[in-house]
Amino acid sequence: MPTSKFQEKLLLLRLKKKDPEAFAQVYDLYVTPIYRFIYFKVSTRHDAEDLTSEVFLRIWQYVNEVNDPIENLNALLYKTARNLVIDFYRQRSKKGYSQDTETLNNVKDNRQQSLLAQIETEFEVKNIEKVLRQMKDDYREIIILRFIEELSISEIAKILDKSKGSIRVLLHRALKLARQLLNDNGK
Amino acid sequence: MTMENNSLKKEFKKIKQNIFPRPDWVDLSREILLQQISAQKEDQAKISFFDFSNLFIQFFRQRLLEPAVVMILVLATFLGSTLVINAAFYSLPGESLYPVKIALEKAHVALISDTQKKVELKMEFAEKRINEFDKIVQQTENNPAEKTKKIQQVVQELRNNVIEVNNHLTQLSQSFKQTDKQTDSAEVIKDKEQKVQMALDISSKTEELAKSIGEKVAGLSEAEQLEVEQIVSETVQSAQKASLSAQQLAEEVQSTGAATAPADGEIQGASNTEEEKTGLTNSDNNDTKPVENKVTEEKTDQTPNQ
Repeated sequence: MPTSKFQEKLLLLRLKKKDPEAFAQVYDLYVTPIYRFIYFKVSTRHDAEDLTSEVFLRIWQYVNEVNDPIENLNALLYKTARNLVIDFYRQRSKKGYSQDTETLNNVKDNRQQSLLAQIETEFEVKNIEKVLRQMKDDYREIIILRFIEELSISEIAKILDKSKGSIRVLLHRALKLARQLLNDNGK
Repeated sequence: MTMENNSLKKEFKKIKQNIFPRPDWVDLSREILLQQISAQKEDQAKISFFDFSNLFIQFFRQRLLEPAVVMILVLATFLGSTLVINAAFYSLPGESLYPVKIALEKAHVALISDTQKKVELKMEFAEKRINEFDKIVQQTENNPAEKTKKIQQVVQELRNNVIEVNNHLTQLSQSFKQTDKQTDSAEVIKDKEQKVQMALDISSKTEELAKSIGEKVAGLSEAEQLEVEQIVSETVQSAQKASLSAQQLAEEVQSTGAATAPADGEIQGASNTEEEKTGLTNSDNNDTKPVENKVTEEKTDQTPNQ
């Protein structure tokens, strides 16, 4: 979690007061996690960027229009991102390019390491990323939230609107699947 | 299986390091978003103590009734209200806390019963308006129309203050004329001394005010000057009038002999002399010095007798 609980609430309060500085702070804190989260759900970096911006805009509008106190900024952000991706897929028809190529392209753009390291990590990342992209969205999502964003079980439960128990079960199954896929891919 | 799990988890963590948005895009998007929201935003309000306390309560719901927490809350109430007041203290016209500031000033004045102190207070506020004026002029990022509006606000407040000072001075001199006719005690005499002092202070302050208004206005651009010309000239006139009234009041008080207050035993003698002085004063306001000297002499004459 990027900030302490109290800091988060205070930030939220300022946000409610339509303080643009607060908004900027929220953006700075959450842009990378939200981007990552969306990135794995969509095919292109471009889409991830667009959707990420949209998430923050929605959050701002939500805070301004709705008077209910917001319990958890973290959960709100991820939920919004999630919903936006769902809408995104509903609206547009899926195009037929191969996912693997996309993954490769994306991965190349993002890193600035030495060539050798690049090749090495490319191979590994490609592998694990491939695995992630092969998974069902539910499993992929939970792995991202737990192991990439490193959120707690209770936070994930809030985001996904499920019980802690179901989260644990899902996680267990997701890991199992990931292992399986990795082994399959390795063969 | 656990080992596999661990290595898996490590792999996932690696992804975290490798996947991140383009820095260029992050900056660009940030700017665009901020632009979009500032187009929508209304006036900002600073967080009031009420909101903060709500947040605090929400957070510490369970432990709220513990004595220590209650004490902290009580302290925070006092601190918080001063925070708001202090925040208001530094606000300028155009900011949302400015009306609060003006309201607080008015409340302050209303709570002071002593007329004298009221006038002093109002002088202070007038000076504050000048300071605000300075600050506004320095804010070059404002567009001219906004700036003029703010300047007008400030100068108007200033004018109101000065007019009020004037009114008080008139009141003071009227009440002063009344007390002259009564038997004057030592306290009243001391009171008069203070009033002289204050009247002189007011006089010099208003002169300064008038000067500085003139200077500030000269510092504005021509267009702005035109806008504020009328109201500024009114203010300057009022300031000068106040200065004049203050001087007159000072003269009046001095002519009735605001020397050191006599001891109790001498009160009768002193009051007799006062009556004489009064007689003299009412007829001839301008001739202060000779009367004063005469009075002092008379007093020193009396003292050894008693």
